[in-house]
Amino acid sequence: MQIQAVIAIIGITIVLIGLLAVRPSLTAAQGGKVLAFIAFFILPIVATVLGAAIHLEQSTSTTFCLSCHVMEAHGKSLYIDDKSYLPASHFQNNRIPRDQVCYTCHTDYTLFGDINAKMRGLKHVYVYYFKDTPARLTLYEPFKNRECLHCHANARSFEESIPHNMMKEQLASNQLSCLTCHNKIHNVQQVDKLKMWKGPAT
Amino acid sequence: MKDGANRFRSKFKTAAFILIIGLIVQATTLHWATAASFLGFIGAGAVLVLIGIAIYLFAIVSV
Repeated sequence: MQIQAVIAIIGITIVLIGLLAVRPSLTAAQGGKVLAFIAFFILPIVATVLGAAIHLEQSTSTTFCLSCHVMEAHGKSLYIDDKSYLPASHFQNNRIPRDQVCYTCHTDYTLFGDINAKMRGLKHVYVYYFKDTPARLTLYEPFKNRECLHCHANARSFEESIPHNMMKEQLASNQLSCLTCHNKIHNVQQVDKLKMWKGPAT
Repeated sequence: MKDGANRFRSKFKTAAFILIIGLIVQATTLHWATAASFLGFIGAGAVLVLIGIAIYLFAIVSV
């Protein structure tokens, strides 16, 4: 709906600009000058700002993250047919929204986490198109438990699990990483050798 | 005076042409949620729109 609204604004702007370009004499009158200012200045800025906002919003989508060739193996790892693989089990069991898989786990659940994640995404786009992509992709910093606990803390399955209860303090303070036990992640080096889930029935 | 009006029209039409191309690029890129379309929006669409606006502003202040 948002996209259609921006495209409608762009369409109206193009029609107005086209009309004024074909008949520049319209700008001789005061009303024509105002119309030209709206068509040539206000509306293009509005369209650009709204369009940029839509693109930034779309940058949280799985399609966006996997549109870069280097992320193909990570995308493929979501289909590993083994529930011990953390991203795959979250994706396949709808524990996270499938259209925002990467973003849901790799954003920071902090005040500026959303904008930080988007800025990192912009940096990735820049590196992908204008620099050499590193042969091995790594996180900027070790994965924080905070991101897991954003959903799992207070969840019954988490609270009633004896191992989680025993390590609750260490997990909350990040002294012990969730990934110490749940250590099967994307495994991109071997993803081609693993059995794959065919995906949801359509 | 006539020369000035002609120059204004020429710049006005150039601004219109560049703005229309920029806006078409922007509208096209909105259809895809990919890094390439984002880059197209910023690197081509937004840049063309800004150039078009600059030419238009230059045209109206130099009348």
